[in-house]
Amino acid sequence: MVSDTFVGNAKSMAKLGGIPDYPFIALPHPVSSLSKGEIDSLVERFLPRILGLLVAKSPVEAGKP
Amino acid sequence: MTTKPLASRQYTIEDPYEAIEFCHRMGWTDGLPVIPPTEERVRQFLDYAGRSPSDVIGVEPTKGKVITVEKVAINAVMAGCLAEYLPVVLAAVEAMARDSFNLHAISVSTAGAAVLAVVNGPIARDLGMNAAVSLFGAGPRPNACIGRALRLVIMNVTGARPGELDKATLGHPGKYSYCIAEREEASPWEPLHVERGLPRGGSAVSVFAALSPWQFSNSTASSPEVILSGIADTMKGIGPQQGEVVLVMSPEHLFHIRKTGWSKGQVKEFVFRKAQRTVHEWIETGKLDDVPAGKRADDMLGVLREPRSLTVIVAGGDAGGNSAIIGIWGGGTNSRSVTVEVRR
Repeated sequence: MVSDTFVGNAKSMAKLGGIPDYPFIALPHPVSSLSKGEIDSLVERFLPRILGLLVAKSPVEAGKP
Repeated sequence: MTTKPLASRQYTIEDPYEAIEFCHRMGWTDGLPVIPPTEERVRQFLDYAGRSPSDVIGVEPTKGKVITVEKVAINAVMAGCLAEYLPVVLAAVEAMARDSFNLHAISVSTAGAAVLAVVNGPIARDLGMNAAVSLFGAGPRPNACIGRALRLVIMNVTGARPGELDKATLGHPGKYSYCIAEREEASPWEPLHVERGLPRGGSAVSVFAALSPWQFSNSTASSPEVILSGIADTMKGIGPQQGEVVLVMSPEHLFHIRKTGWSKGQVKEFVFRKAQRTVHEWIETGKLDDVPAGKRADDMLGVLREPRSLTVIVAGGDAGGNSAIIGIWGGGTNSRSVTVEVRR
């Protein structure tokens, strides 16, 4: 997972690592200053996507960030 | 002239001004014009340093970027270096590539650190490096170009370009060039490289993942305790428990402090004790989120983890009670400064 400001970085690092279509999730930036409640809401919102990414059999199945 | 093959792609451009523009279009510059790196010029640099172009100086581990002598020489030419600067540039790049320096992280971080290079030993004098007036300012060619070469290597060889991988919120002007020499003849203490275990007669370069300098000014105090307390107070803006902070002490401040007869270690002890705030104050000013384990809100907590967390360098012009505090990226723990011998 990255915050959406760093999507470019994630794609660059994936390409450098030889896995250009490595699937990842882009969370709304910023994350580090969120309260516990806001983080809980973020988790609730993205958990299905996170779980889907973990069990996806391919980057295509994982979908876009 | 060395005849060993160069690995870099070559472009044929007749007009030198067009070659300069080409480098801009290719994204190879820091925004300023570069010297087009011709094969002849690069080979002159390689010959001076007595190095093979394919020698590996280091590997930036996170991105797996191999840094060869050829690539460093190319960027040193582009930066406007003379061939005799190359040994310093090579040593600094070797230092930057050490795992403990964490080059990738410091180059892409929002915190926007730059690489401060501090040169010690005879080579600083031989190259005409500036350790005095307008220390961090424009002017002397070796300071400007050695520092610039390091930035071009970071951008062009390791790929940390602004807006792409480099996500610094602000950055600072040191990202153009941030290179000084220590003013060893003005100091009663052992120079930085000797303090770090290298021989006094040798030359060395130290690299720091450095934030911008914070100037502490006091030209009226003559009490060493007042001056050092002012320095300690200035440091509080950095935050608690730093693994390293750099103090660039000006000769005018040193003039008063040396009256104490204190060693460098004793100066560090004094500043360590003075640069303290309560845990509550650190939290109130957003420098800590919570009370650390084992501490109470009214406990004192220092800027420095320990006295030797303060790195003291003597430099600057003769006039003016102006010293500088420089914070280090990642609290001075996630990136550690590295000192490497300069071989020539």
